[in-house]
Amino acid sequence: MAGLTIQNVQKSFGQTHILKGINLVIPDGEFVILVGPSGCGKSTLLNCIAGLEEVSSGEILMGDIDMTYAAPKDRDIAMVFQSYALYPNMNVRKNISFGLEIRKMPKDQIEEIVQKVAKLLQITDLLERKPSQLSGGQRQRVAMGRSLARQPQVFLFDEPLSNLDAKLRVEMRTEIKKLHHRLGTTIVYVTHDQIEAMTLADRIAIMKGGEVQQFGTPQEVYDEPANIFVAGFMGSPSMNFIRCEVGQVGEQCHVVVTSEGHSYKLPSPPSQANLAKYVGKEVILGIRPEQLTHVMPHVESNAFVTKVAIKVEVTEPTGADTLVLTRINDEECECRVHPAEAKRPGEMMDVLFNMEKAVFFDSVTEARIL
Amino acid sequence: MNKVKDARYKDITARSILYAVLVIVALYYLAPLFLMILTSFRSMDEIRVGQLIEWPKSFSFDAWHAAWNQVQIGARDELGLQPYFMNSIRMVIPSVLLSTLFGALNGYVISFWKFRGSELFFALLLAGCFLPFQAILLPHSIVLGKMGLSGSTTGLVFTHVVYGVAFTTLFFRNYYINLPGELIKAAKLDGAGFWMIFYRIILPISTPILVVSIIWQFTQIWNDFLFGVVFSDPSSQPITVGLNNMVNSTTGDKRYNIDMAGAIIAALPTIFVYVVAGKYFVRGLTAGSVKG
Repeated sequence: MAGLTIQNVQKSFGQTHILKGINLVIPDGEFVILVGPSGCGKSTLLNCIAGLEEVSSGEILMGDIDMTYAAPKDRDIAMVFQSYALYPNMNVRKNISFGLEIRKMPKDQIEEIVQKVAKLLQITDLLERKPSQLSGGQRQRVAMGRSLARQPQVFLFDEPLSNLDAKLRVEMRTEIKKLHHRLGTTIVYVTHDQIEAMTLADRIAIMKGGEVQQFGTPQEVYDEPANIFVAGFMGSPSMNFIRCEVGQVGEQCHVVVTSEGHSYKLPSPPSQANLAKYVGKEVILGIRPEQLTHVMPHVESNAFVTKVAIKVEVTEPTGADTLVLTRINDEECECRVHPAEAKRPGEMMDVLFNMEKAVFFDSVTEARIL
Repeated sequence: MNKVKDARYKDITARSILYAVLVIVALYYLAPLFLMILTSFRSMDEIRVGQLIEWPKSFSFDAWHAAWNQVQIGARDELGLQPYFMNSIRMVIPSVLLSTLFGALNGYVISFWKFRGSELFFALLLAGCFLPFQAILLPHSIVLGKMGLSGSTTGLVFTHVVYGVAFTTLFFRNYYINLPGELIKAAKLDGAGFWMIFYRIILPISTPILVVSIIWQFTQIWNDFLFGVVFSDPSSQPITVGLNNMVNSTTGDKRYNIDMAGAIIAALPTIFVYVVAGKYFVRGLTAGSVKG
């Protein structure tokens, strides 16, 4: 097993710069997820790590060994593809053993590994079947089995779950996580699904436009997003962004929001000391829907909680909570309230704004104000 | 209610007309073949005195024997179409195999191992599909002469391979372009190289298009007359040339029964190949249109 170091990796196709200097240090055994919208370069980066595409500049190290220009077969990397890429002419057994055969492993040893992998993934009954005779979930398992058999230094997953139906996706997600716990091998996993990223990753690298926007643990990127893009991309429903002016009373900064003709001064949390530099200017308040709740008496006394009267525009029941859409400072804003407390569209209701976890962004650079 | 009934009658009528047309067209196409077969089993005396189209009174294989190895064709020592037939076999088998193999390799490279200019390379190859072969007869004969292959079976094989590769490449490239590229990536990560991927993964899943290519090339090369007549000498003339010589070089009266038997002999191998591999042919031509 080995860690992975990616140093200033750039990749261009002609005039198109896909990767603009990626730096990631992935310790041995870490589960890292590359997440971002389509075209952000995450799959290209994965292909570069695999050696399927050559980098334009920069270095890729596995452990201490420079692998930047090594052939894919010499990198000791296994990859699970979105389309699974099982060899259609071979049965499951052959699919799993193909890589071992090429590496000239003795027959009895191959058989032993095939059996072990098949048992681990519960596909022993399927060994003689052709890929065309398997369901999507089974193909997924075989594809994982094929990469497991080689016992590589690093696993790469390229959107492995995006072809599965919702239920199976959640099941396989758990299984991949268990597998990682058991094997402890470094994993780099590409997805565009932020829930997958949050649930699986030790650390998440959020990419956009060929650059890493933030690289941190799921909780870090959720609570401490580096910029508006990360804040908006991670979390569902998405964080609310409200343009508002910064004011100051004594030492305490606040932002001013308006709802239905009334203005409220929302106090900034103590961690946001630098907000004082923006007094009198406009910033973007970022606050997650779960910080905007129905009135709960035990938190109302909190100094960072403000009661705001809002007009309900739309409600979206999710079962556990109901999302209430309203307008604050003339911008859409979602609150997450208890279903029993939610009012109907057109009615007024009181909502508590809890500013303890609020973040602020520069309205021009869109970077977080720290 | 009436409307439904009307629609039903309309449907049945339309269908009957359609089938009638199809049957008539089929008969129209089959009639000459039927006539050929009948005539080949009749004796010359019968043909002379009777009608051109008539049921055979006596049934004999004499004309077939004659066409195969008794009739004098040109000024050769060997008799009948047999030596020409063998020439064709000797020519067609390596030509078909080589052009198909090269086509598969070309298609594999153009689809999965793109290089700078591979698109242009493919476009130029495609131009070969539209090349009128009459245009290259003279230059190509010079090439064959310089290579010392004039008039030989090897020369014919070379010619057919060169001019067949354009089509076979097109076939294979269009088939491979629909395969997921991740298949190749997976094999590369498994440690397989260029040839290993080709033999172990790509060729085994190419059966439908292999069959298409083989049938197409076999039919083209077997039925080719132009190259056969221009680039061969008596030792290497294919069956099409033999048949032409047989029909055109006899003196005295036309022996229709032998001509017909000869024509059928010349056509049998292509029919055989189509019957054996035909079901794959349609499957291969439509491959890629439906995702499996």
